[in-house]
Amino acid sequence: MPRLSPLSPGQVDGDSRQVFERFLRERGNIPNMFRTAAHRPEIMKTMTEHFSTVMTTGTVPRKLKEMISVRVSHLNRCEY
Amino acid sequence: MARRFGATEAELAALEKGDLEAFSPAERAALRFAEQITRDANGVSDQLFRELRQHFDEGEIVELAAVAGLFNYFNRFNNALQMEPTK
Repeated sequence: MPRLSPLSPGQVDGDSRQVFERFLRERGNIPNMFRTAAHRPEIMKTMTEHFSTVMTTGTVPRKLKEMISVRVSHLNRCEY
Repeated sequence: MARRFGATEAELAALEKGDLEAFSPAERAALRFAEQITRDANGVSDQLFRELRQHFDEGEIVELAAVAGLFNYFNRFNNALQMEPTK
């Protein structure tokens, strides 16, 4: 059981609703991390924006960035 | 996600084990940098940083440090809150 409740699209409005709808369009689900962070909409919104900026801008290949995320998450024993 | 961007099953298995020999010198330097940031960021040695600079410019090193920092942030957030994987 997660310690905090993930919010569903029906429980959020405004910017959060837009962010949730974009996730549903682009990947078919909303990551639980962002559903949970949505208890503080400003934090959730900038979290998703920073995530997207770090992973999709610049000149380092996306594949290497993804491999770093796998290695770091493994070292942190993060199943998520 | 790593698969979607071209990582092979063999590469993912090697990442799980921390066996970086099969990766290119640039990838290896970046992965070692990320490992050290995760274990003890104060412990990034001058030698490791020199190696990193042989393959990446300053902007790219900002990107690499940001990816490693971001996933340490997200991992800690998710671990502490016992986040369930998204289905």
